[in-house]
Amino acid sequence: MTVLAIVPRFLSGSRNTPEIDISQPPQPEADLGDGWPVGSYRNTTRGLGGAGLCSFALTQHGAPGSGGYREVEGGAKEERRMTGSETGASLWEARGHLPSSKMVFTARFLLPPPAPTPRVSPWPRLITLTPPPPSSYPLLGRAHSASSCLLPGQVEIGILDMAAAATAVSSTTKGNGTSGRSGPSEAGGPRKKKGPGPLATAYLVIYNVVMTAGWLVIAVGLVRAYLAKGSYHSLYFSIEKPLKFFQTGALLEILHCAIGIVPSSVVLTSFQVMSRVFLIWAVTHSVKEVQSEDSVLLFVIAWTVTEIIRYSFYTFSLLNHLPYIIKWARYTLFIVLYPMGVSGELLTIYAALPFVRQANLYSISLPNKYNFSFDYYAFLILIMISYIPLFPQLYLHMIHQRRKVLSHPEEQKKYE
Amino acid sequence: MDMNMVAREASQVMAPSINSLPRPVPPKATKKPKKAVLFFEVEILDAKTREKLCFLDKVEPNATIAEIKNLFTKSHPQWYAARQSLRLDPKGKSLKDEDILQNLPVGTTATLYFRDLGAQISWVTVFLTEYAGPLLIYLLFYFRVPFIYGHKYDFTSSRHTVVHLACICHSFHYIKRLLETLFVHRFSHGTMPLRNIFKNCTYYWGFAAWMAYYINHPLYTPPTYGGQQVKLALAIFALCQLGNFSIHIALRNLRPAGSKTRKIPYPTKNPFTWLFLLVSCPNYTYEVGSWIGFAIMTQCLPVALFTLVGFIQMTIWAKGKHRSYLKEFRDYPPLRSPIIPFIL
Repeated sequence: MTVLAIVPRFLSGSRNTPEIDISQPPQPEADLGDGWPVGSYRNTTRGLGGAGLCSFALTQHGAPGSGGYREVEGGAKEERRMTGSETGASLWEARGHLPSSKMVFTARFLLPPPAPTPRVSPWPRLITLTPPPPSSYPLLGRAHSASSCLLPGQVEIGILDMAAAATAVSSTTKGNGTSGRSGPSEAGGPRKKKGPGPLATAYLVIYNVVMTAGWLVIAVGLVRAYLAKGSYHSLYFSIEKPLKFFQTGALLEILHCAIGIVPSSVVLTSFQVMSRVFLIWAVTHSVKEVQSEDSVLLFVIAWTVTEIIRYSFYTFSLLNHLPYIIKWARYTLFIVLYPMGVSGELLTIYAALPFVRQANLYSISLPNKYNFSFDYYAFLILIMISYIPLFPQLYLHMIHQRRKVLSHPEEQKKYE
Repeated sequence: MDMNMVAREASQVMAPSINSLPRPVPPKATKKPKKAVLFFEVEILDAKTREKLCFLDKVEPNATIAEIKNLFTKSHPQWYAARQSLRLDPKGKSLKDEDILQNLPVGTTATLYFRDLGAQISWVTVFLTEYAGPLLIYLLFYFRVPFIYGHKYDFTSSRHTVVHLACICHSFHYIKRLLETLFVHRFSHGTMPLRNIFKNCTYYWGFAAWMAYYINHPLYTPPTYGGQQVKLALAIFALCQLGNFSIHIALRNLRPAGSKTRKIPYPTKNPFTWLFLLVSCPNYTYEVGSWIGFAIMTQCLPVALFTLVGFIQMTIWAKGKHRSYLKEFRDYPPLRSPIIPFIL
């Protein structure tokens, strides 16, 4: 009896989960021989455009982050424990409930997920016990209730994406803490979920493909410039424009979260993207003297490799054909790339400091009409200091995620 | 079939027994004596691990959840009652302290799921700490205590009237809040998670320090429109403070001492409460108004930013409150908006 939970891969807005009767174990169905597991959405609901566009990914409880466009960390803490294979309970015995969207949105960044059961592959599978009714596919648009924007979103797993560990911790505590102040939050009850419509998925595929292509352009540009120049110094200038364009374009991801076609938290995503954009514009672009530093190349390479893998990961996930190598790359290369990127960023900011001081860049001093002052130099130093708590948290979190996600190589190869 | 129903039925059928076999037969120890009293048995399981934590037998049918929590504390003293969240369903809503056992949809053997809410701290403690901080911190900056501004400014006093006024207003505001916490407010919840005190104090104390630094700075620039601007802003501030206080009193009078009843607030004879006609949470409206007044009076950007952040947070709270009013009361006045009349 496998331990499974049905979790929507794409969450947006109001929830209409299909009524799933878990009082009986699922009966084995005839295998249609198309390689999909028995009872899968594909082979039970062929006519319903089951191309995976409105997929409900089955994520095993114990293996969060097991594929899918956004790694859903197995739903809420409670559910996970409840149907953990270690207790021997199966879904129907465990009186399972479909996780509420709010539960799924809980970011449990630093809470290690429980050990996955060895029986079930953490691969995303299109298995539903009953197919979702077509009417539950929403139109694109923001359907969040007003309170849902308060709740921490799902964890975005990526390398430098995860820059928001600290805010995630604070946002989980906020979710618990402010429930006292802001009135009772709705917990439990019937869970309703919808995925994004086919239009949203198509748009997201295009977005991710474009971004992958963009970062590939940057990568190729770097290589060509290196070959042309013969040295690795000052390569920034050859890829300056596409770098600015595509990194700034990542701001769209905040919009995606805000309108709900991507199930991540707006706060976390903003934090991530803004930190990148800050480095590109407020440091590298603004302080021209650092553009010829080698540290710039360091973080540009780290970002390029990361982003190419990340966007191709999303593209493949959206199309439900994630090659193991991409998944492996995403969860392994960060071990080198993340420290590399952080070093590059810190060194660049450090190199920029004297020039900021000299020019009093972006600084306002007293006295002035609005009784305000801002010292950009001090601000940059504060930013550098903030890396100290953030980096280890994120790094360790990624290590944990890696252990969970990549823990069943045999089974994953089977489904490749 | 509704999931909750399935869960409840399943739980009643398959509740583990004392000797903790994986799926044992539930104890049939419920007495049905010839006498009228029927005792309940309460079994408390951990909501996450399903581990059996406590088994209470001979529980009075009219026992409240609060009493059960106290009984549970006896066996697990580290989980005092305020930390316990007991629920019928591991993912359901927490049961209220006033709920009576026999009115719950359980059989004579009730299975409750326990969640640890973490270390708790009382609301009053948090409020007092977070309001005492700004009061004292602002005064440190006002008196220009050493090491904040240059040495030549130590313990000097500003020559601008508005700076002295600002200190009076700011201090009055926080003294008012402290007194209200002690004597006026009636809290629904006794406690909140311990982490909140750090978060809240950082917010209040941090912003107070930031604002106070600029207002009491030797290079402070008084408002552009001089005395007129200050007088107008002071009037706005004073009126909004009075309004805020009136609303707090009105809300207090809605709820008798010690109770947790919720009623729709209505305007009273006090003109400041007439804002209830248009707004669900006029206390927040007046609070924002006070801070807008303070910002205009000091013409200080950090104050404006503090006002903005406070406004955003209070809007979120007001919307939540408004929604729960609407959910709870069928006859809730439709004209009311959460925080700003007609707009928000």
